[in-house]
Amino acid sequence: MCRAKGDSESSQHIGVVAGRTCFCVGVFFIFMLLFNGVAMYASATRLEYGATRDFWVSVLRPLERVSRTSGLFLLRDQTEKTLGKWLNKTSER
Amino acid sequence: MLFPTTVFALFFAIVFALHWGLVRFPLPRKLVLLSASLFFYGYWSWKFALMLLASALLNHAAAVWIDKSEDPKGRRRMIAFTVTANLLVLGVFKYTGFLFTRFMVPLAIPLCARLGTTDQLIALQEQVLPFIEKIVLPVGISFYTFQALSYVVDVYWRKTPVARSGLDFANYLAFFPQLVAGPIVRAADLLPQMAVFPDRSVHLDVGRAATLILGGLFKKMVVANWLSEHLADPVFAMPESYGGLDILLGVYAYALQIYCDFSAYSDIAIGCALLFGFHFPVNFNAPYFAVTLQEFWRRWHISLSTWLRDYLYIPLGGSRAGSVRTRINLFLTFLLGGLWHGAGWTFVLWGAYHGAYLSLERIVRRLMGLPEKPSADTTLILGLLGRIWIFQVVCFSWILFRAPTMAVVGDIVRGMCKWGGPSTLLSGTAALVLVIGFLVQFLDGHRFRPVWDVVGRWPVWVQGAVAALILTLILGIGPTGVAPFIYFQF
Repeated sequence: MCRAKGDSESSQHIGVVAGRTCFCVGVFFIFMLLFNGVAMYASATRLEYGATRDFWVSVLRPLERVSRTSGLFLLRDQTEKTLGKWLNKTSER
Repeated sequence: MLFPTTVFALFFAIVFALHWGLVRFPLPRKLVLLSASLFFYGYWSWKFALMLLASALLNHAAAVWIDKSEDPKGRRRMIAFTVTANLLVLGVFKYTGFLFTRFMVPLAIPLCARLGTTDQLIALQEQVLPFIEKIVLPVGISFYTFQALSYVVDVYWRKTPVARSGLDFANYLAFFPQLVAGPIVRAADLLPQMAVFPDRSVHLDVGRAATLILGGLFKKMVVANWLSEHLADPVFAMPESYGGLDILLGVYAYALQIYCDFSAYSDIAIGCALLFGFHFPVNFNAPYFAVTLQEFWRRWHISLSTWLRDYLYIPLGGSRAGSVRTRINLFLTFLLGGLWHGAGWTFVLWGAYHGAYLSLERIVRRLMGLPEKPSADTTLILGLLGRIWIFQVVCFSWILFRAPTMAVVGDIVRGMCKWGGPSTLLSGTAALVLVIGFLVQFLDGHRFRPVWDVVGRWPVWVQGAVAALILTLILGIGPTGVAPFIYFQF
């Protein structure tokens, strides 16, 4: 495969094969959904009323339950309540 | 479709699965990628997607004709026609309003006043303006037009072979990660990759891709958005309300915001492409570490700088025809580069400022007996002073770039001279975010190679889980809402 100029040639054989990359991306999406399920659902409920909102709310509701039950939502929740809030608070001068 | 959104995450997951799931079926795989790219673009407007497809097909047809033709005159006519047609389309969408309201009307006003036809001019304006207001600039048109131009010109110069099929070229032009805001990837780099898609045996640099995507999201969602919301936007919206220190903070904040915003897009694009098995060139390389303005342009938006060099500066004569002509060519290149960024006098002035400074820099360095390129053995103090100076030079140019009108430029410059009174924007958080905005330049280029390599050695499930964890932290820290990338407007 051709490489774009500027790419390090030393990186030619670094990395993992495509199948393992797919697995990695799959794991990423599963954890991403579990960590952010509650926030994503809350965000969907804030959408304008209509078909798009109904779609996202119905899709994300089961995810929100799993995320809340597993307790993994706490990572996002606590980050928002601590670091996120601090960053926003100082900005509301 | 914006990168840091749920819709994009879903889109990416589906296209990624299809791309690697269809490895045994090359044609459907290519068609899926093109359809996905058109869907990505058509998410703004399906008319834009049709326009992009038409641009791909027509430019490819012209390139095939140019490639096959042996008649030099015919080839010259065709390349002139193709370049003009591309620039005309870009011009109509991008510059009609500017040409009419900021150029033709101001010129016509004194003329009409002398001829006593002011009423007719007003009537004409009333008729034309509603039509101009209806023209919507297709997002990313400047980027894909430049890619298409580079392809047909390279085929004309016989530097690049013509694409094997219209499908390959359409995939090159429309490939979704870089479609909207670059990097402007050359046909010679990407077309061969589009001709033969990577198979499952290819090694994907997941560590690098993850670092680029997550680093990009951090730069955009945390740093750029914060700087924009709390420092740059307030200052540029009402400069008369702030003192010199606050205005200076606002200008510095914008300098770092535009870097974090634009380099973030490039990084995410490069990272996403890597996961699909495609390689893009680096687009930013710590630009604010530059010692000269020339070096800055070798580090900032590298794909545009090299595009302007190869397709404008060198065809104009480059540095081959004496020092005066070189300076004129440099000035013209940057003037047009400024105009490429936007239809407005502030952008024209921004380009002129860079062109003039670069010409002056060449003269001064020659008079001082310094080499054209800063040498690596420059002393620490001189290097530091050079970096600080060039940062100020570039920051001044960002005032022209960011200010909506020349009046605001004047307010900003006047305000910077008014010192005294308490600062309302300076805080520990502001200082921290500014410092972080400067330090994230270390993510550029291949400086993080050791980190990518370490990450690459972790078990893949750990890589995926850690990436999700970091993304969650970024989402938690960043402000709510999604701000579009600055370069979408160009």
